[in-house]
Amino acid sequence: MSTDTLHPRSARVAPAWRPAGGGVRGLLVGQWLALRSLRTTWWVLGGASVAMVLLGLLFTSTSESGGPGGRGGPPGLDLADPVALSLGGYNLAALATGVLGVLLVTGEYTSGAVRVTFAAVPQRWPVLLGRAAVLAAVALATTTAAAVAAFLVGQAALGDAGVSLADDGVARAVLGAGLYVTAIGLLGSALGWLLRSTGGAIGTLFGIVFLLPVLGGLLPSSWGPDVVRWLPGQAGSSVLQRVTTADEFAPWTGYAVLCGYLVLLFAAAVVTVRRRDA
Amino acid sequence: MIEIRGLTKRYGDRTAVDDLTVTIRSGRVTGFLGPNGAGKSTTMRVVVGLDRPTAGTVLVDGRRYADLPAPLRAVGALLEARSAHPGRTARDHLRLLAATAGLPRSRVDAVLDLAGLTAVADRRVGVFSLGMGQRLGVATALLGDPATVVLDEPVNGLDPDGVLWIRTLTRRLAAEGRTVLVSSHLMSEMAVTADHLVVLGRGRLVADAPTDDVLRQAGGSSVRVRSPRAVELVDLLAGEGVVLDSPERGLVEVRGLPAAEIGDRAARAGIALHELTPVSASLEEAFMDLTRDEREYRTDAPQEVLA
Repeated sequence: MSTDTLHPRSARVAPAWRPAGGGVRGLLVGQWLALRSLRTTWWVLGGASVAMVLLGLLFTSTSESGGPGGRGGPPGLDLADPVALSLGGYNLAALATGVLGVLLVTGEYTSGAVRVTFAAVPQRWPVLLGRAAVLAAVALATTTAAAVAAFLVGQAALGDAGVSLADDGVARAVLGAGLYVTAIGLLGSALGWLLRSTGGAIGTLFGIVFLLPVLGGLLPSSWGPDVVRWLPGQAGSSVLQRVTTADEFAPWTGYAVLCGYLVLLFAAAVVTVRRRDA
Repeated sequence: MIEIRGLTKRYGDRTAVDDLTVTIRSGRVTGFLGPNGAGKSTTMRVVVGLDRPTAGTVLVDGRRYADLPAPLRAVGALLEARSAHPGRTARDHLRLLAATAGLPRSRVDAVLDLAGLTAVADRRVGVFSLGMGQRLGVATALLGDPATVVLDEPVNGLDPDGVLWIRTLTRRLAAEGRTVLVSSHLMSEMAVTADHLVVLGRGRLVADAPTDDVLRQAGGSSVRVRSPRAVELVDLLAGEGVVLDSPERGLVEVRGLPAAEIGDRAARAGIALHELTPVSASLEEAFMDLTRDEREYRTDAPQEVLA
């Protein structure tokens, strides 16, 4: 008699791993409901999308006068690049989505709901990954649509100076805007799991994405750029540049660097959340 | 059944639970009693895998919590009054958990109905009163139709209706053969609800016995006897294991003898009795008695502070 017949149930259960009783599908549906049921999600994503289109329109329609505020234009934007002008709202959208990523996690901690969730899924890591997956899908869909809209509206405003999606590197840059904003949302999510506090996580997110590049600009020019391009925000945003400079990573390389940081942070978050008392 | 074996939980250098071994059986309501900081909530959090024990094991139906294939269907817990996101409706809160645990949507409606929340199911939890939040917590605990139910202070914030509801519900769950562990600081509540008591003091097990036994042993029951010939009566009743006390003229409090025996002896000696009343200790008294040495916050200064 084999051990299989002694333990027929364990032999049959083996292949399909069903965390928490609902399986992968139940987990994803649950996380989708968790995200969908909060008004914050739609206010932030809707606001970010509208801001992206309107800022794109603003930057493109004022480009002839040298951009908003006269000569020089918005910081970091190449006035000669019609794609960059129309996607100029990406920073604000990234900021908003990053904050959303934080809030979707820390809101569960402050309300105590996370304990109910972890009681339902004692392994905990499926919750982290499930929430990240659902956030990524929703953020990618909305911000990519917003990037395409901002591009089309912006190019129309530029008239003859505008470019087409079919032009070299343009489609990648436009889709890259959605990819970048989504990645910053995930960065916020990972920081939320690691730090649990809304203020701490948002502060850290701003520090990494917006403050470090400014501080990096103060470094000596001989080696400063070699450091700055490795920063998550700098590396990742090269995917939405139509043309990258010698100081920047190539578009997909840069985005891969940002994704690498995300993998490391989520790995750290999984280890921390599993070890910690909830 | 919940089996707790040698459970110790420390937070830094504070010991919340100290080598606790106890088994919570099915088919009856087990009351979990203890003063504040005795380790009741910590124990319950370890049972559902939220806190990691420093030492020892907890098994639910013979399995570690993390190894349960569908935890919500095995154990339902109410641990805090507020445990749903204030921005979510009660229905969404339950629906997302039902999806996660692979439960049909009909369970959501069933527990909303059971908790009397159907009318407010689509309101955001943030506007709920403490009592409604508590009812949602109970609904959440029962969502998976679990064989084991763990409720931490379920009557907190409930109106008399709600208290009665919890009392009836816990009795019914136990009658259905489930394991029911209910903590409360309202010992009078436990006296009417719990069949069995587990009493903790400073993280240690103080008592694990049927409610009646706890009441009888600690403090014990006494008999109040009033007689014009009380002095003679005292001589008559004195003996091994009998404690007599006379708080006022003509009144004797007797411990260690049943009322019937006292009445018979008095009748044989021809002593008239004006009152013969059995007095059972309240659970409060029993509880204070049991945990006298174990209370964390005492009004008398502990020796080590004075030394």
